[in-house]
Amino acid sequence: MDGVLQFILNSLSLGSVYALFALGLIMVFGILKLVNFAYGELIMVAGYTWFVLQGTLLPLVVVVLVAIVVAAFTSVVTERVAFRPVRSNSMNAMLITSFAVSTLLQNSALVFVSPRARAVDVPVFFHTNINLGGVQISVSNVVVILVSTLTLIGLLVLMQKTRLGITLRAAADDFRMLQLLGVRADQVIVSAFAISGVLAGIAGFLWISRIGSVSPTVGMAPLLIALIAIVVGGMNSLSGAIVGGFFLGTLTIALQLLLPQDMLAFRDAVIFAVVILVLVFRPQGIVKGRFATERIG
Amino acid sequence: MSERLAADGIVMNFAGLRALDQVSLSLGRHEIVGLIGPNGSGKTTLVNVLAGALKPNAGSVRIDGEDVTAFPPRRIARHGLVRTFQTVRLFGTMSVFENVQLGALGAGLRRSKATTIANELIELFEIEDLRDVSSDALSYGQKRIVEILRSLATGCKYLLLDEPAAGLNEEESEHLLGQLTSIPEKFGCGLLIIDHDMNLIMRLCHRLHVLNQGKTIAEGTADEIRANPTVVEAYLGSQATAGADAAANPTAANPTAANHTVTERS
Repeated sequence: MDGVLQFILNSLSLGSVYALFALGLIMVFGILKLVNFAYGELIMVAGYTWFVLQGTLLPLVVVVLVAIVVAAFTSVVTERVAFRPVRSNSMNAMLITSFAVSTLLQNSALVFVSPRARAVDVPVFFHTNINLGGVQISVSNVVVILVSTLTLIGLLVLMQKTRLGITLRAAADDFRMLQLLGVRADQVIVSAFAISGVLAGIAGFLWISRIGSVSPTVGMAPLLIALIAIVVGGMNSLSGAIVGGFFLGTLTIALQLLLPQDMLAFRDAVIFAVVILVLVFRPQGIVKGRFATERIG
Repeated sequence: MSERLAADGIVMNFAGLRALDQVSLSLGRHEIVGLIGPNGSGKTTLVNVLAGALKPNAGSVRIDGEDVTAFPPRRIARHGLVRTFQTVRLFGTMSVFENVQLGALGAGLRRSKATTIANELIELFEIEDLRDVSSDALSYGQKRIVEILRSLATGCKYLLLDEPAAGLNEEESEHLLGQLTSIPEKFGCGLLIIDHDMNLIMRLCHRLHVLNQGKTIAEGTADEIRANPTVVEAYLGSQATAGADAAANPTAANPTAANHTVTERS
C-alpha cells in the first residue's frame, strides 16, 4: 500500500513538471506552429537567476518569483528581437532562428558564468520527509505537486475566463481570422511567449530544485521531454500537452521501479520504444486534436 | 462626406489579366446591395480589395470619407468593415458564445462588455439553445448565422457576405433571408452580398450591382436589373427573354448558373 502511494506521488510529481514543460512549449507552438528550440534556455535562465541571487539575503520565494519574471522577460525579448523580424519569412527561418537563440543563450552562460555546473542551494527541508498517516512523503514532492496544481489551475482560468485566454485559443484555431476581426497579431504572439516564459520559469525552478545544480545545457533535457510529451499527447491542444506530460512522467517512474538494476541504464531507450509504439497506433497523439482529424483526406 | 463605403475606379490586374476594370461601388449603412455576375466576373476580387486583402492597381476605397486603400485588413476591420468567406471560418474548437464574443473582443472591447453584446446578439437571433454548443457541432446553416453574429459583434458598419447562402438548403436559405433583412435597420450596418441564389438576392437587396468580366455592366433595383438586356445576356441567361419569371429563377434557364448552384449545394 505504501509502495503504491509512493509510486502515485512520484508519478504525479514528475508528471506535473513534465506537463508544465510541455505546456510552455505548446503555448507558442499552438499559435505560431513553431517548435521553439530556445525554450530549454528559458529554464536555464531561470536557474542562473536563482544561482546569482542565492548569495543575497532574499527569501527563496522572492528569488523564485524573480527567476520566473526573468525567464518570461527573456522569452519576450527573444520574440521581439529574434522571432518577430523573421516571422513573415518561411517557417524554416523561424526554426533556424530558434536554434540560433538557443545556442546564443547557452554560450552566454558558458562565457559569463562557467561551463561547469553550479550548485544551487535547495532548502534542506525539501529533502526531508513528512509523516502523513503512516506514509512517508517527501516535502519536495508535496511542493512540486502543489506548485504545479496551482499553476495548472491558474492557466486554466486564464485560458477560459480572460480576454487574453480566449484570444489565445482563437489564435491557435485560426490566427488569420482572428486578425480579420481586428486583433493585433503582435500582441497575441508576445503574450504567448510571455506565458511560455512564465511556465518555463516555474517548471525550471521545480526541475532545478530536483537536480540541485544549473549548467549551460540544463535546458536540453526539459526541451526534449516537452517535445516528446506534446508529440505523444497530441499537438493540437493544451490538454494533449498535459496528458503527454503525465504519461511520460508516470512511464519514467514505472520503469525506474520495474526495470532490473542492470537495465536501468537503458531506461530512456525503453521510454522511446513505448513512445514509438503509442505513435504507431495513434499517430495524432493520445488526445486527438481537431486539425488532426481534418487533415485526413 | 456622408457615412458610406465607397470604392472608386478600382482597377485590379493579375499577371496581365484585368480582373477589375474601373469598378465603382458604394454602400450606405442602411441598405443591402447585391453584387452579382457570372463566375470569374470579379465579385470576390472586389470584396478582397474592399476588405484590404488585395491592393488595387488603381482606384480608392473610402470608409466614411477616409481613404483606407492602403490599410491592412486588420485596420480596415477596426474601421468598421468586416467580411465573411465563401467557406465558413468559425473557431471550431470554441463555443458559439465564445465565437460571437470574439467579434466584440476583436473590436477592442472589454470582456464584460463583449459578453453582454454576445448574449444580446444570441438572444436577438434566437439561438440561445446553441449558446454553449461547440461551433464544430453546428449544421452548416447555423454556422453561417453564427459567423454573421460574430461579424456584427465587432460593431461593424459595413458587412461583406461572400455567398452566405452557398451550401444551405431551401429552408435554411429562407431563414437566413429573414435574418439578413433586418440587419441594416437594427444595427446600422450595410450589407454587400454576393450570391448566386437569384431568388434570395432579388428579394433581399435594395440595389444590385452587376459585374461581367471585371466591368460594371449594370446597377439598379431588382426590377431594373431583371429588365436590363445586357444583364440578361451576360448572366441571367439569354433564354430568359420571357422575363421576370425566369429571371427570378435563373438556375432553370442558365446552365452555368445551374451548374454552379449544384456544385455549391452538393
